[in-house]
Amino acid sequence: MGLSLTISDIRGKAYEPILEELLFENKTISEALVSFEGDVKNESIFTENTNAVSMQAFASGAPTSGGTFTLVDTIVTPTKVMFYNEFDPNALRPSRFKRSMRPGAWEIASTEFERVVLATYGKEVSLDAESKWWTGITSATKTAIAALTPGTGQTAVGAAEQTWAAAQTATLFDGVVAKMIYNNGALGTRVKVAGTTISSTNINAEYAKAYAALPAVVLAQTQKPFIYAPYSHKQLINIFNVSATYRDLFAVDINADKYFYNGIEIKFVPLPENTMIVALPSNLIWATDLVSDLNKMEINKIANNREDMFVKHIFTIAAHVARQSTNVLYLG
Amino acid sequence: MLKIKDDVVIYPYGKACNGFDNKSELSQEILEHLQSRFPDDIEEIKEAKQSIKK
Repeated sequence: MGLSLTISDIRGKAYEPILEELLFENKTISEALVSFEGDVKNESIFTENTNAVSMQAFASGAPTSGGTFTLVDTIVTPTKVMFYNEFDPNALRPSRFKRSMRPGAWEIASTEFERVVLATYGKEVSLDAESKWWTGITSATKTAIAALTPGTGQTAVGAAEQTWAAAQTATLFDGVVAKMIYNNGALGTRVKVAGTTISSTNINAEYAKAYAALPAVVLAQTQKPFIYAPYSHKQLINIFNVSATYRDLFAVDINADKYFYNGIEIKFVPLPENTMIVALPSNLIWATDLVSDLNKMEINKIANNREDMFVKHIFTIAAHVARQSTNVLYLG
Repeated sequence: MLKIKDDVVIYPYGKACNGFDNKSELSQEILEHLQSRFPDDIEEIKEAKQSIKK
């Protein structure tokens, strides 16, 4: 049973709010920090197009064909996952939750438990999905990355990339970082940046490395790229700015909770430490059947002749990284 | 050859990720990378020379 109780028989007055665990918000979804491709029941084809043109001298006679149209399809198949947990609401009878149970021995459903505890559990599911969408990696991909021959050039896997893959616990699907390192059975064509341990003293220099590596054409687009960084960077940036002698090197609007590096907005997401991505949000695609599936949970009796219950989430999820060669992956 | 020192656990990507210790099966390239970031936690061990006695 997935119910761990350290409760007191309620005698006096219970402090009204239940002190919920402090959680980050899933801003990847709530603020649409990336692109979402819904309605992917099983497979979706993402097509990338690059063209080459060839100027040639005019000829009145038969011209020679020049240039190429290149189209590459990638099939993305989201992984169907679920979260399932059983609990016995009868165990809550001695606790504060009995106050929100209706009278009668049959009635053991607590509205307070559903409103607070199960709602928080639902947020945890959403955060777990978000975290794995960024950093998930299958055991097969871990093995494949470990088998590559490392080197410093862009066409070789970086030692930091192999270290990163080795440091992750295997998950059911590959997330964004894994897809940038290893994509479609081969090394990804990301722009790799060899980093180091980021602290409040070197964060400016490390962001400069990632910024400098960004292909200039990305900054020339109507849609602006984001720097996706771990949550801890917010503190490191604030400390760095306090220490900066003449001016803040990271532009920060504390009231609006907005952070910028050289005009690029920084978005804090559940990436591991010393890991950053610089990319157009349209290049990072969250593929799923229905985005709102993440918020849907089923709570019901396990069987009609039983009083214990279950809570269940089901959704599909996949990460797809488009235009790989325009995305920067910084790994310390 | 490089190895992580005894009784040391390295977390190159924070404690939300797996740590490495001297039992972790890591390539020398990964250990070289870790040495660049955690020089005090990596040591070099000399391989014992094997002599064949006839």
